[in-house]
Amino acid sequence: MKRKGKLGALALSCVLLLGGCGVKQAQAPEKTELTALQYELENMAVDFNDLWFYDRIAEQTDVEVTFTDVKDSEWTSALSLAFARGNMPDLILRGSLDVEEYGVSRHMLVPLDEYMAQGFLPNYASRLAEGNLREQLTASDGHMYQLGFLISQGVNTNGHFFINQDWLDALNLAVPTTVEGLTEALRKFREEDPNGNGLRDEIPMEFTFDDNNTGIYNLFSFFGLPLNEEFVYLDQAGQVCFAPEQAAFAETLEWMHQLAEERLLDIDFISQGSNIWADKVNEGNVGMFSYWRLQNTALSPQVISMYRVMKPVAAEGHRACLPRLIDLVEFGAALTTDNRDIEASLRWLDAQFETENMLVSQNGEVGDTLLRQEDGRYAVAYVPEDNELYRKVPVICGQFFAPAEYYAQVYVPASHRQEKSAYCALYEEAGVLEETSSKILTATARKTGEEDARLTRLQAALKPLINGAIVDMVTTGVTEEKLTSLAGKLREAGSEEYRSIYQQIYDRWQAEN
Amino acid sequence: MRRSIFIRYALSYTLVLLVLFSGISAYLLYTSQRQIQERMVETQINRLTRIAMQHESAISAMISTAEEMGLSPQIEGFSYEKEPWKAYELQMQLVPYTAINTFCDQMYLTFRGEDRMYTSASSMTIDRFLRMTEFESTDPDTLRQQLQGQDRITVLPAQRIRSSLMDGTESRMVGFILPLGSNPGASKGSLFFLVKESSYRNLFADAIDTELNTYIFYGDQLLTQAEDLPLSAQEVNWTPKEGEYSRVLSSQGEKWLAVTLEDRSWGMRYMTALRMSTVNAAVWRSLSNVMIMLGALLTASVALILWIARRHARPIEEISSLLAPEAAERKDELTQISSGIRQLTARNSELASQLEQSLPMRRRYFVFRFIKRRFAEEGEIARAAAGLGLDIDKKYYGVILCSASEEWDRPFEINQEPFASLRGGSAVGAELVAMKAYLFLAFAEEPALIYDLAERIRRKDSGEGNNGVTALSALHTSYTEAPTAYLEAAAAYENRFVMGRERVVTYGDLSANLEDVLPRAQKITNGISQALALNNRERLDEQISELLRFLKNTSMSPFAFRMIYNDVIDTLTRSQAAKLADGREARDFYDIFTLTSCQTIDDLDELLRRLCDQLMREEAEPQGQTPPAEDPISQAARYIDAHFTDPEISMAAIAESFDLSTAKLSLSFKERMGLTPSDYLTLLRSEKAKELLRETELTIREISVQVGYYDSGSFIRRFKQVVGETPLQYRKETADSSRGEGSTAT
Repeated sequence: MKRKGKLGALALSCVLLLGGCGVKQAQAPEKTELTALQYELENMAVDFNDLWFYDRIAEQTDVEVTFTDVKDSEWTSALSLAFARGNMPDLILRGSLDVEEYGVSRHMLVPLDEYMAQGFLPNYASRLAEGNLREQLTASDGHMYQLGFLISQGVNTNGHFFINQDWLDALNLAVPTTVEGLTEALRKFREEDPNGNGLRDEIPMEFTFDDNNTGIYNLFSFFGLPLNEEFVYLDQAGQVCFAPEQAAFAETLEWMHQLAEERLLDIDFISQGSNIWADKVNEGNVGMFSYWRLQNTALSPQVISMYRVMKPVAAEGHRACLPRLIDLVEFGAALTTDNRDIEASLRWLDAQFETENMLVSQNGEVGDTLLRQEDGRYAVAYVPEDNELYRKVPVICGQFFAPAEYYAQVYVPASHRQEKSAYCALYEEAGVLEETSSKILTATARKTGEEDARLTRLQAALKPLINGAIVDMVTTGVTEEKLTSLAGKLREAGSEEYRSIYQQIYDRWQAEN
Repeated sequence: MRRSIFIRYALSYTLVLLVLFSGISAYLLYTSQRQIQERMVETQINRLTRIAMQHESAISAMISTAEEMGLSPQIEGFSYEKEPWKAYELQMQLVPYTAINTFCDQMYLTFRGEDRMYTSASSMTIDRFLRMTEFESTDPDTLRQQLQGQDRITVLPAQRIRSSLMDGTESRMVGFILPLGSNPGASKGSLFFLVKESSYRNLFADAIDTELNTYIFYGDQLLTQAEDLPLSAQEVNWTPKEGEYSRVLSSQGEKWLAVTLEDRSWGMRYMTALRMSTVNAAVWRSLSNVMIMLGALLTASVALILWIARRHARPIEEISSLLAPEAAERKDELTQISSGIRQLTARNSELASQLEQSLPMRRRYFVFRFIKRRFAEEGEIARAAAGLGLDIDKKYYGVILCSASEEWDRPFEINQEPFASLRGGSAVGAELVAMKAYLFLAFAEEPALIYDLAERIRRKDSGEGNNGVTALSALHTSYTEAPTAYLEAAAAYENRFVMGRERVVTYGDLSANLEDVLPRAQKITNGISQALALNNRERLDEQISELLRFLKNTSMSPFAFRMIYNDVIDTLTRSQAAKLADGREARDFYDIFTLTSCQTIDDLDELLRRLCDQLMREEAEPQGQTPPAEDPISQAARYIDAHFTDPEISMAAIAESFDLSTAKLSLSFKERMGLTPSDYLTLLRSEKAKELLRETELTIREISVQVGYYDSGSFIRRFKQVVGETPLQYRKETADSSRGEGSTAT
């Protein structure tokens, strides 16, 4: 028996030995190892190297990526350092990247269009045909140095207006449709104690300052002025307009001053941030505000239930006009010229554009937070609390490229996204959006580096003047003198040049398209 | 147990090497532990210094910001209620300050007396801030007071803070509330910085070894810490003495190395703690390389030592085996060498002594044997002489007697004068103790040379202040005439008083009257021979008596008597030789020196009668009947009896002559006689020596020679073995005893 045991052990050893040799020979090719500079949101406290999602991609592609996570605040300097010191990673992922600078001028990025022509990146390339996506991604030298990031959900504007339905109901008011009607409703909110606490503590309008989400910039739309952070828009004739120079700008300020004077507009908009704004709104004591949507935001469910969407009201003689958003392709990924294995890099990236992988990267694991419906589309099962998704998948810091048509075919949006879509449809239908999005000027139309730099400098000079004037005139009133002074300051600061550059860019864009 | 010299060398060298290396290792261990601990302390101090510099640089930046804001005319307090637009302007001013203070996460400005806080991107009432922000350990009211009007720096140690101003997430943060402006008591307000603990982590992140804790204390309060080890700040917090930077602490059954750095300007104290086991591990890591090197060096050294030891030991072993090969298994080489050298020295000394003493003794012995005619044939005489370096193959020889002189140093050195002048001849001598004379045999081709030598001896003897006489025998050509030559010389010597000392006395001077007497004596001698032949005792007595009467009636010198007696004895012995068995001769029963010692005719008569009796006893055996064969042991005993004074007698030779092995002879002899032949020989010599000691005044050395020893040392040892005391003690005892008897008789 013992002898048999020994023989058995010997045989087993031989088998293991031979098996070991066999295993070694039959081993899959060793995984390609790459490095990546990975953008992450400021409040993300995860290590991308630990994400389950990238283990999944590594298994599928035999490519192992080591991430260096860089917070939003450090992204630009980290990129600059990486390029300046010459210790470039193989991949740069998400965030932003000056493709003109690093790709066209300094030739530090790999042109990807040639690889796509050879059949690499099949998933990604198949979605490029839709719309003007290819144009957005093509650099001034005609090459594509980047892969885009796109979640096209048919979003056509930033902030929507919400009014306190409970208060309207309490005061037996209809949803206002004009500036005057809105002003009157706000007065009632202020005067007639709609919250019923016996105090005049209601805040009729709660805004922040200089943005199109919760900021007062949206209020200019009531007077037909689609004010955005670049202060330019296109009129129907295709001419670039500089918003502060428009009459509607002053009219809006006058109205806002009136609101401020009557304490219908919380004057804190001047200095408060979105957190304070949300805190106030969440107190349930606000009559009206603008926001991206209601669900799944900083607002509490009880507060959400008090509000309803409201179309932008129009001042007399004006058509309400909000800035229109278009699908903008963000920076997704680029390969540096130090890349050690371009084919493996493209294989690894394109695997993330495969439909299920892509939706998983955004919504979590299938069978858990993501469901595959009978019709083949994917739907979100639930959204984990406390940003739990970030611990498994990269969410919006991953690779995603879903043009609207394709996205609708494969994905059933979550209810909060459906909510947003509904608001967008409503506003589209109401015709309160720009006909031609100013985003074509600011984001889509290709700028030369010189134009870009000049615009940045001019904008930096103009913005304090404009915002300072808004603060001044909203709080102290609009006078002709102030307006003339502002106009003079703006001109001195280069407002005409600023506008004409945009005009030049737009003209060129139009010529190209 | 045998320990080879190689092992001893190898062990000794290796022991020295091990002691050396052990010392080095112990020293390295001791110094390395200290040095590494000091180095680690130094490293930690450097690290803490860098952390302190960075931390204080960040604090300085915050303080500078507060001071600059306090001094800036663009930043002045205002009533938000009255001038809300100033908030926007203020925020524009705050933007660059926020940008430069990257160490802090949040920066809030409050003006004195104002209930509002500003950042570069927001503003809020203090109430709202406190409502939106939960501090783990800071009371909101206290914080409000601190924010609204303090003129001193307040530090809030790290605590958990949850704020919807910061994405609603919870973070551990350190707070600094700094007065706006540099003028205490007149600050515009406060600047409240919140620093995420993660910023401190970045400060601490350089620690190469993650197995350590880092703490920053503000006063006694723990400001923040990076804790990798289970050691709380309370356990490690200690107040260093002046100049003290590190301390080994015990906690939780473990030892910890705590290093501290105090910064007096900000009241901060930086501290780090790591396990002593980590320090020790570093020591061993560091030492392991050195130990490996030392080990390799030791191995190489041991190998070298073994090689050297082998090289050193080999010749010693060879010498040892040469000196004492049979002892190699029992003793080590050095002992063998020591023993061998002692043996060699003793042997060498003995041999030197023997060599020194034996040649004169042997020459002396040769002289006596020559005179006594003890050589069987002339060839034997020649060989014996050649063995002694003597060339006696000459035509003539003579016997010279001279008086012994104590002043003649080494009279028998034949290479010296006067013998050196004996050209072509040789001479050899011996002392006749009883006669107090020297006897020389001189051999030469020319008689004149012998006469000349005798003359030189005379002069030498006389020249030394001695009144000695030199006598010379007649010159002979046949060795068989040696006894006659002696007697001739002795006769001449005894006539020295008549002949005077002026010249050499020769036999020829006194031989004339002898020529008449001898023929008449011959007749009587023949009668004695006949009586012996007839074994007729009566006739023999008659003939001897007649001879006695003849001699008494004849006026002759003692020399003549002796010559006649010698002639008679010679005749008798030759005539009776056939009767004697085993080749013995009648001369064996008589000694020529006995004849010379006879002083009266009666003495000669007794001598002759004894000889005849002896011959008669030999003849008394039945004629025609072979006497029963004597066994070899008896023969050997008799041989020893006869030759025990011969120093050259050897058991091997005796055994060989009786066709026996030495062992057989020894065993059989002992069986028969009760003692070994050697013991028998020693016994005989001792008895003879006792006799000489009792009855003569011969020196010990002389006695030793006479009883057959070459050297007195051997004689003394043997004598003591047998008698139980030394010869000198024996003589003294017997002398005392005699005196005692004498006195008793008296």
